Amino acid sequence: MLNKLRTVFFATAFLVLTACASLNPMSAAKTNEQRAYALYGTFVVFEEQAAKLVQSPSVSPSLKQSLRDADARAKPAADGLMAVIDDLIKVQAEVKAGTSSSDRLRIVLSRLDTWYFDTKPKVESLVLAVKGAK
Amino acid sequence: MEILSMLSLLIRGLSVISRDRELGARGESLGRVLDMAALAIERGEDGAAELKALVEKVKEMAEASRDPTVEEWASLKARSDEAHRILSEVPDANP
Repeated sequence: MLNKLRTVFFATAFLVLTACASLNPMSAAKTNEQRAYALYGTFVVFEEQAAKLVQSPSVSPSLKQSLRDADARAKPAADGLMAVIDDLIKVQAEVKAGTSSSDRLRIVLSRLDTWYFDTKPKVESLVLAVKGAK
Repeated sequence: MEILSMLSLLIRGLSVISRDRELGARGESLGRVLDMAALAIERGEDGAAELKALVEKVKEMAEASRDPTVEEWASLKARSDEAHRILSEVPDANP
């Protein structure tokens, strides 16, 4: 009976994870800002899942520590991405008002690209840590 | 995802039935296993639903040719800061 239950349990867990894997917010984006939003949003979804897991008594202390450490690695990069977004919103408003050049906008967009590719692997590590803990 | 909700409900139901007094300790331990299975499904489903909502939001932005608003960014940042606060409070496993 327990063996059958285990099979059902793992098959279901696999189904849930497969469903998660097929949902890629980044693939729906068409602009750099949408792509950054999708990445930051993915980070937040999994960070919240990690926060729920560390509050569960059924999760071991070492697993909780792994989740905390994966978040600690990803959070500074995600915050850096947010800082570039703040700059971008400011420069976009300045360009609209005619007080800033489009060259400055191009520089900020290039920084956004750099931060995106710096943040992505760290968010992926957090995603793997959360999926591994489930 | 509706199938998973139904499966979770079914497992919860089986858990209650297995805790019947006639089954004794064996029923109790089976009930605990079933509860854990249902919890795992619900957590996975919860995350998948949030990801699905995010995909829909980004699709909506792409179709409307608009970028995220200041409020949308601020909302995500606030959620991240709260989750990070909870995670930061986790102590070392072997202090």
